[in-house]
Amino acid sequence: MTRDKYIKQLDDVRKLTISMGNKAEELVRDSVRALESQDAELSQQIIDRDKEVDEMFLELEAKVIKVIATQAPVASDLRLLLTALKNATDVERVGDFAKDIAMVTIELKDDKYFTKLIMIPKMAEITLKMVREALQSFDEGNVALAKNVHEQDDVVDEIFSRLFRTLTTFVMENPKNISQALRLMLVARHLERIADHAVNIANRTVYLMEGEIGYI
Amino acid sequence: MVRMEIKDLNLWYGNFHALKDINMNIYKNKVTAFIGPSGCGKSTLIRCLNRMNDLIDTVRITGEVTLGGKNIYDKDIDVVKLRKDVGMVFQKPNPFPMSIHDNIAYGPRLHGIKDKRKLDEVVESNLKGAALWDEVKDILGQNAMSISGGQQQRLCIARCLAVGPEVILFDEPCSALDPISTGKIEDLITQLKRDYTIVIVTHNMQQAARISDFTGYFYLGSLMEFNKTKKIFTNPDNPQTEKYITGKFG
Repeated sequence: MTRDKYIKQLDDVRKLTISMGNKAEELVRDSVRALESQDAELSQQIIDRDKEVDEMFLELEAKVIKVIATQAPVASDLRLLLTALKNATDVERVGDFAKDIAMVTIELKDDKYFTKLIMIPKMAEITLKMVREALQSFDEGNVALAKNVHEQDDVVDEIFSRLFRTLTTFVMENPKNISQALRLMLVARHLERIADHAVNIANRTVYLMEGEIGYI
Repeated sequence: MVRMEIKDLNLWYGNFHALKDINMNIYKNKVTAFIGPSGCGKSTLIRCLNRMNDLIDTVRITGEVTLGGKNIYDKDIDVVKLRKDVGMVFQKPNPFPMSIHDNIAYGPRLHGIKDKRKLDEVVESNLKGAALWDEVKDILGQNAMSISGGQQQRLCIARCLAVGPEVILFDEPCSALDPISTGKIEDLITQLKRDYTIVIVTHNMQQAARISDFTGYFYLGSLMEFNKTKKIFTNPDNPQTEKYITGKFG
């Protein structure tokens, strides 16, 4: 095999994208856990840890630019680099949403929840599975798994609609619930957006493997 | 529209089977690039397109190469006219050891143009066609060997244009040139395809990607893949093409 250094550079980009994804996924998991237990301290840690994801993004961007500038990649190598760079943008946004959820928790830390949180953790569970599988589909080049991610997005959207109706009911029952309901709605919106980013990543696995740009 | 057609072409150098069952089309007003590792047969094939291989004693060829529907290997073909219709530019610039003006006028003179004013017009228009006129218009009487390598190569292109070809074959035209001269030749090839059909052999993958419309990948005398260049360089069908263009093989 020739071009060992180049092959290692490509592998580094792939691995860095995955570890960045794992970190962002962990932040989302912790942020929802902190929301459930109203843990402001953990939330503050999440806000700080999001900077690590941002730094990894910059590192990855620099690596991709360097490989493109110095190695003139084509075909599947070029697709890998473009996919990794665009996936990293999605992952970086996922990290930001975890931070946003953590900020909501800090704002709600002294409130008494007007209901037990059930749908948000459920939504988070599916969303996290989508992120994990989307990243796995990228890592393994697994198109079938990518398509599976897409299907789960409908479930997340459905829970989001249900949650909206439920929170509306709580607000109608007692206007004092408005502030908390709006904040929980924001969390749900963030989770729904995270699921959309997972779908973006999954779509790109199809491009990575088959060279066709499009949506599943 | 197809300008040249290569049908079941086989070529042997003595016992060595250098081209195996090649079938492909060369499209009019397009740039077709031949790529592949050294010894894959791409230069041999390009030389088949204007019968340059006739000059090698041990060569045996079967199959057909047509130009405008006529097989160029038919017995009644005038090879001198063929090489006028299908011109060639080589790897190393090879200007004649005479003035810049006479390098261009040489071919038209051989083909019967004697009038000095007419010859001057031919020289000017073809030097313009090869994007060299502005650089040499004041030194036309100077020996062609005195200009730079990049300029010499464009002079050779102008010399090729001066006899009015339909197809121009470029056999690694930039491999002896610096990046600036290479860029000028590439720009020129892109302009020339408006009026000519171009075939280029290149070892520079990026050059093939930049300037060609179609690319053929050759390996051990066989055409492994022929497709639009965009397809070859983004998502080739053949895994071996992929390995070659990404530099992991060859």
